[in-house]
Amino acid sequence: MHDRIEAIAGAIALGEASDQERHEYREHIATCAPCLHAYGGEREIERVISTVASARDSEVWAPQIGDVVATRLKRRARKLRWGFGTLGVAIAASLGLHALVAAGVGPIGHSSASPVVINAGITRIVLEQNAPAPTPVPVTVPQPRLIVTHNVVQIARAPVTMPVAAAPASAEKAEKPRQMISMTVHPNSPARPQLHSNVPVWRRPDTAWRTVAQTTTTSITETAPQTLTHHAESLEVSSVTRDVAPVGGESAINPQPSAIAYDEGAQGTTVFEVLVDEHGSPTRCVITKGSGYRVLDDAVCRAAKSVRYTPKMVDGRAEQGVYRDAFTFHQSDATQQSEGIPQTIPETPRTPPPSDTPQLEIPGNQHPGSGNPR
Amino acid sequence: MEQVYLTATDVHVAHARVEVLVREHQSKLARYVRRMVGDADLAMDIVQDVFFAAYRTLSSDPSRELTPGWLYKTATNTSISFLRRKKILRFMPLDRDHDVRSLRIDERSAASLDLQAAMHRLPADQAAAIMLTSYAGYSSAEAATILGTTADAVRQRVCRAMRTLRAVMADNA
Repeated sequence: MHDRIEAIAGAIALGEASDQERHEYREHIATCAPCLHAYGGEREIERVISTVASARDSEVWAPQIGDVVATRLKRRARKLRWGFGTLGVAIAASLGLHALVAAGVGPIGHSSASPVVINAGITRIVLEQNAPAPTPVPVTVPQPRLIVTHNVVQIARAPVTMPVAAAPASAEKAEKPRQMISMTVHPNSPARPQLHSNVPVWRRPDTAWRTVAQTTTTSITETAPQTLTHHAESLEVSSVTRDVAPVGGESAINPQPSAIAYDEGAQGTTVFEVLVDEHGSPTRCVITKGSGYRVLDDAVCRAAKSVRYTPKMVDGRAEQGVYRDAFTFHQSDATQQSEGIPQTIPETPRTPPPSDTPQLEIPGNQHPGSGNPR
Repeated sequence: MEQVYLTATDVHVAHARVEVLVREHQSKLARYVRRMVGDADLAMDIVQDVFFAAYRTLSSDPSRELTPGWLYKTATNTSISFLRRKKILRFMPLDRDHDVRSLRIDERSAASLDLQAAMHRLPADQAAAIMLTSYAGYSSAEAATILGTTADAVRQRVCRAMRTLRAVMADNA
């Protein structure tokens, strides 16, 4: 009974009570002293409840959380630019530039728009763009500069012999010999450049597959979107002292997709973000743009979570940050070329980078494909 | 390991829609949560989380229509979770100074102080009921939908909350 009276009193307070309910309430409190004492009559109920409305009307606090929310959403918004626009532009632009870097020397020239493909004995390597290091953003420029780190992972069957056509002809050597020298990566070669010391190589246990990855960096400038984010971006640029980075450099993240990735013909670009806490530990990995193959995305996130990071530093204080990166997986077309060729894979393909002697400096002599099969 | 797959279009749409939600509801929602938890800074944090949850929801399902009721529901649930976690601390200090700390100096009218003092003493479900109805303006049926209960239960909670409020007003009169 009292529950019903409470409900009716509540309805009266909210202005939802019917005449019959009001009548019922009046009759009840006429005979129930505790209820009358607790809730009062109808006028008393309306007086008490009006306190809430008048308290609300007296409030003037109007916090503007748009900037704060925008700062958080900005990280998501970057996914948009990363997922489609930036990444595509990055690839196209860097392929256009295609500045090949000699080991520790710097950009020395431009090559064609297609990747340089070198069949090097037991490993087929696709060499993608390697643009010069990005320059810091001038504070006066309102447009944010996005640094797109673009990692290319090549899934290839090995060994692959060097085709005759791909052997450097004398005319080509005269044009850009150092480019090929600098970009040649061969596990058997003693002349492995330091630049590629972290190239991941994995091997399929039953057959002879392997991946070779190369890390390149491209800087792209994009116009900030006309949303809530642009104000917050300018704030963040000025306050961030150092951003999140993997310990050991960008190439420390070494995705190793399972062997089924090759059988599935998996290829594509995986863009991801890693949430890094103030201690440098990765707490969460988010695939911003999937490659379309779970096996590749999982491999990327697994690798990203296995690496330690230097935390984001703001005014000398470590904070939680986000590390963004992308991997592109290519399926090698060397399968047909390698058929019928005896496949011998060295157990330790990753030799340390010793001398900086260019292995293609002597034409036709030190070619990796014809050199020292182990 | 959590993996979220988003397309660029979804992200763009979600971002724009959350922007509209933030503009329209940020102040009202922040005041509501401030009344619920009795702390302005904490209210800001909770409201940010609410809008970010809205963003995640819209990203995963761009066709979904997010009403203000959804925002209030999320804010209420977050506030209630907080209040229940802090229940012991919440019932220990009963002085008025604690109640008014979250209010600006120009907001400390008698009605405002009475309401905050009552909110400080109310259980979370009663606080949510009276705030959603009398403060936010929802009917008992709408509040029942938000709170996942019946309209009569909401009215009952409003009545009990009002009883506490009346006692506070009598004490301070």
